[in-house]
Amino acid sequence: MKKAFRTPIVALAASIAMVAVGVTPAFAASESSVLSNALVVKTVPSPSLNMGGSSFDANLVNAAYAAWKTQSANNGNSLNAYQSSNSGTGRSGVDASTPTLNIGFSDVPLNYAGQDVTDTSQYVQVPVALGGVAIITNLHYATTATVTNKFGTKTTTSRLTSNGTPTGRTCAQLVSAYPVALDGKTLGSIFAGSITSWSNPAVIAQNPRIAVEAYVPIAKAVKAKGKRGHKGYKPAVPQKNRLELVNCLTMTTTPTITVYSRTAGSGTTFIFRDYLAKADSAEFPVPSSAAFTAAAATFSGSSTLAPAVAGKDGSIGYVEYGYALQNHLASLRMKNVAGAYVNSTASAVAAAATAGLAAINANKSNCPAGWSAAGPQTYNANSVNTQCFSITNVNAGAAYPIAGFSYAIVPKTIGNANVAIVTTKFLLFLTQSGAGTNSSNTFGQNLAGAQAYVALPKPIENVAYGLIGQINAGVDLSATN
Amino acid sequence: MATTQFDSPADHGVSGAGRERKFSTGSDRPYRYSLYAVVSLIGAVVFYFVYVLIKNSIPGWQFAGWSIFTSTTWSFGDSKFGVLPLVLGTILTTFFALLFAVPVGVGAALSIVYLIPRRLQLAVSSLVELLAVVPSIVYGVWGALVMATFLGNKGEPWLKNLAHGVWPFNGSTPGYGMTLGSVVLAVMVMPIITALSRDVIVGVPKELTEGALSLGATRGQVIRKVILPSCKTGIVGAVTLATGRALGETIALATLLGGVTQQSPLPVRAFATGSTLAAEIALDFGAITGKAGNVLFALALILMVIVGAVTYFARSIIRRNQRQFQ
Repeated sequence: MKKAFRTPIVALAASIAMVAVGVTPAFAASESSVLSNALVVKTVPSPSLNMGGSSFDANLVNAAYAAWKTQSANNGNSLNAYQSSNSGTGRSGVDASTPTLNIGFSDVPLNYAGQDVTDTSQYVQVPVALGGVAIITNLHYATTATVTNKFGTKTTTSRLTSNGTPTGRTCAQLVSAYPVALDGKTLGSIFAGSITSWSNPAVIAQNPRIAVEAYVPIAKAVKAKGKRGHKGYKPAVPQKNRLELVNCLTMTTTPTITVYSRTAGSGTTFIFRDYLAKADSAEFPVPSSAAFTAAAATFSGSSTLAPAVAGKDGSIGYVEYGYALQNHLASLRMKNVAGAYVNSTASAVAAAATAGLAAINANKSNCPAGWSAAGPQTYNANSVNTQCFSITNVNAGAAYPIAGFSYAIVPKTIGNANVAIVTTKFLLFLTQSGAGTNSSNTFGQNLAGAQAYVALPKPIENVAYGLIGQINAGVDLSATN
Repeated sequence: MATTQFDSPADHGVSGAGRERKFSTGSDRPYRYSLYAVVSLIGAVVFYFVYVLIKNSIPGWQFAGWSIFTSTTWSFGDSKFGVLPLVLGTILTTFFALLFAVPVGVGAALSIVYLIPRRLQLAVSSLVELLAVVPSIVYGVWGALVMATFLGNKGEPWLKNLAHGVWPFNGSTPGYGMTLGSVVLAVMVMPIITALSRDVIVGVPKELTEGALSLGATRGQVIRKVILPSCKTGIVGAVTLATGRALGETIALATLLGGVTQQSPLPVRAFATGSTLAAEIALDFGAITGKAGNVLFALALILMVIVGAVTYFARSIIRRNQRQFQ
């Protein structure tokens, strides 16, 4: 399973070589010595640091935090465990007048569309994760179907397999071979509430291969007229059934679609709505973090939404891909701009990042001065549009259309020197893969594949390195603490 | 005035009935002073607590405006603050939980005392008391993994079919929602009612029951006409405690209620989702230091007022019943 996630991203380096960093690294020492010093905290700050926010990052940050703690006892004592909630809380925890978080994680850039009303020049936003939003469903299919002949007690039972015999494939087997596929417009209609049943023709049309044989009535039975032996007697005509191919989506155990959404403020919702704004702009004109109006219930995090989908037959939801794997949930194949149906695998998300970053670069002139391709820093919030950071719905054959970056947000100037040191060290640990150091395998980005993310491409790692160097104008990590 | 056996323990000493003997001066002075100190400390803590709550909620009232009481839209992430859905959610989940838990709880207590064989009594009442001390989060996990799946896939669709989709059994059946919350809350408060009612029922004097039986009353009549009326005050006390727990239940309901959505802005359907004051504070706690965080203090104040009102109302019922018997 893990091999599938080892994706060669060498090709990325060439295609996004023109990603302009816009910031010069401020660390005085060489990168390898900075990274080597980033592994161990020497002086534990008091009180210890808090981090939290987006549930999109939670799996990666938790894994990195566990690896971080093994480096030294001081590490675990300096930084408290990740508090997973949503992107809105991640941003508000950092930019409040009395901040509750030292490091906030958000999938939505700070003050995008003026939502946070804060001076973004006082903060650094570091890209930390690259992942896909999987559309999860819980579908079960009937294994037999019965047609009753009217005016009689005879029933005809269909064994719902691909060829009508026990050796054929059932719906469940067919769907695991050809996962349910949708395009953006149909998916948007489901989340807008205009499509409410799995047997809707628009849904079925995109899944022709999951069909089984079943008896379908083609001629109605007719009751006998008059009495036998008398004039004008018309005998009864029995019902005629015929074996036909029937789509599995008309044979679901619960045909009604139950939509589950996140509560307002979720960055996962933002990435999903950003995609819907491009793929189904009629129903979703503007990207935001608002909950979906068609949702039957809302949940505060991906970690509660995924089990809810797992527990309700016929439901649909959206979570970062790692949660789909954790809860053993099937995710939909999405149709991308190039016309291919793609699932949310690491290689597909990596392809989205490649093409997306190239597109962002091409649009740089429309973005504010000082903009960086993978993470906004100082900018006038009113002139930012999603083209400057979004990698959804990119035009590439193998790309998964609902992918996004997530960012860590920290103040640019941190008063307490020990806090600044721990912040710098942990962010370096999280965003780098440590190539060129003695402990290259331990750094956080090496854990991305196992957690169902894509490791940040090397140029983006460099951007993150440079951005972290802006904290307190480049903290000196070689000191005794 | 002799105290009757229908007293609620909470009312002892209120009217000064036990205070005739004063502490003598001298050797008892340190004891008296330390008691005064303890009482002052408790009083100071309570006053400070209420003061901080009111003080921190004022920016919240200002931020949300008077529409906090008139608006019917609650969406914390979108800065829409209308508490009506939350207040309704709090009252309705508690009401339906008690509707189920009180008859079952009192019935269970009666059967423990009068039906179950003596050698099983201890085991059964211990089991009930064990249920009463299960932590709320365990109920939340059980509710989310077991009851939500059952209700969403089987229970609610069956109920909807039975009622042919007529209000209040209309709309989608997500499993999570007010029904799940009420059911789990009922399971949570029932052991409290059973345990306390059992203590009160056992305290009914034998003379009363034997007198009624000797006059030819049946078992059922004895329960209805003698035992229950004499236990009324105690049972009301038990129900008050259960109400207090239900109104303040936080973590279990935070995981089970499904949030205030556009599909159910007010929890007026059986399968509606919603939220309660306590659960919403827990869910939005991450924003407690932000501007909107003071609104959460306002919610806490509203919850305290509701709990205070219910408790006062219950105590006045108890007092009225006491006067009736005196």
